[in-house]
Formats: sequence, C-alpha cells, structure tokens
Amino acid sequence: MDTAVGSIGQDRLRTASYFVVGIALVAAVGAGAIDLPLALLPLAVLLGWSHLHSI
Amino acid sequence: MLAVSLYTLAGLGVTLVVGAGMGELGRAAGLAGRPVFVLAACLAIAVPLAARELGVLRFRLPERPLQTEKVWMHQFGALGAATMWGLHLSLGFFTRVNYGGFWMLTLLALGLGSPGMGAVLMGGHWVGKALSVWVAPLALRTSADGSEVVGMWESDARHYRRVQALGLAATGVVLAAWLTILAGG
Repeated sequence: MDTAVGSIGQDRLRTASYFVVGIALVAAVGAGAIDLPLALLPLAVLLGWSHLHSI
Repeated sequence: MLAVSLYTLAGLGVTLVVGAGMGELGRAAGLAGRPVFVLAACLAIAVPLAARELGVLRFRLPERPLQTEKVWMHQFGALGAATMWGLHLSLGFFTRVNYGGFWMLTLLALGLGSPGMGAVLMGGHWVGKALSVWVAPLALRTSADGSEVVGMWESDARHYRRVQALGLAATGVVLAAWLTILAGG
C-alpha cells in the first residue's frame, strides 16, 4: 500500500470514527433520558465499532 | 452491496439469538433478581478493562487466537463467504478478542438476566463491528480491498483503543447512574 494513500485513508477513517463516536454518545444521552438501560445500546455499537479484526 | 448486507444480517441474526440465550441463561441462574450485585461487579470490571485499552494495565483477555477462513471466498463465492464470515465472526467466542468491550457486554447480557436486553447488547455490538464495512468505502470514497482497510485500521490502533476506553468509561457511567437509582429505591 502506498504510504501517502494509506495516510490519507487513515485520516479519513479517523474522521469517520469521530462522527461515529459523537453520534453514539449523543444517542446514549438521548436514550438514557428516556430509559437509562437503553443508553447501553448506542454504547454497545460504539464498543463494536472500535473492535478491530472485524473484517 | 448484497454481500455486505448478507454479512451484516447473518451476523445480526446470530448475535440476537446468542444475546437472548445468554440473557435466558442469566435468568435461569437467578441473576435477574440481583441487579445491584451484577451492576456493581460489571462496573468494577469496566475500570481495569478501560485501563487496559489506555495501556495503564497489561493483561490478556480470554480468546481463541483464530481468524476467520479466507478460503471460504474460493469455496462458497462472494455471497456465500460474506454470509459465512458474518455467521462466524458474530459469534465472537471463536475468534480473536483484542478489546475488552466484548467481554463487558457479554457479562452484562448474562448478568442482567433479560433475553431482550441480552439481544440488544450483543446485536448492538455486532452492528458496530459491521458498521466498519459500510463506513470504510464511504470514508475512503473507493471500494478499497478489505485487507487494505484493515491495514489502515491497525496502523491507527491507538485511536481505536482510546475509543474503546471511552466506550467502556461511558458504560461505567451508565452503570453507576443505574446503581445510584437502585440505591435510592
């Protein structure tokens, strides 16, 4: 893999990751305000997202 | 698109059933009636798991150090292999577990003793895992080869470990809030 291309790809994936983290945390606060245990669902998604070797 | 959908749906089906099964198992073991004990135990476990992701603590997680079979692509074709990979990887217990969040959710699914909650937790974890397959091509604006994406991901492992630690810390906050509510009666 070309280093420059790899670096750009890595930056884009990291930006996407920040979006996923932000959305998951906002969703957890929203779900928790409705019913506290429901907050665990977006957090479960977040824990799965950052789990490598999934492909 | 069809292959990714099959991968996601096959894994979702498995995780919903496995999560519900763990919840049923926990209920049968009488854990559903002891939420304070279960939440306190999971909270206590979340702390060292988060510390491990930040590199503060070092210990091995229980895992089978196996990866899924790449030869399935040749044996079953793209669609068959995607389905098989979804089925195999979603089980979680039969492949590598590098991050503590999986065990945190497994303990919660078992300990809360609720099949519905177990299905939600394990299904949610799978959706997060499968999300990478959907998001990576959009972020990279190309249909990059899977191994290339994994390479990019692994070279930025520190970021994903921090995200995992953040997820564990946030889970700990929810558990602490839940405990506080239960203690308040």
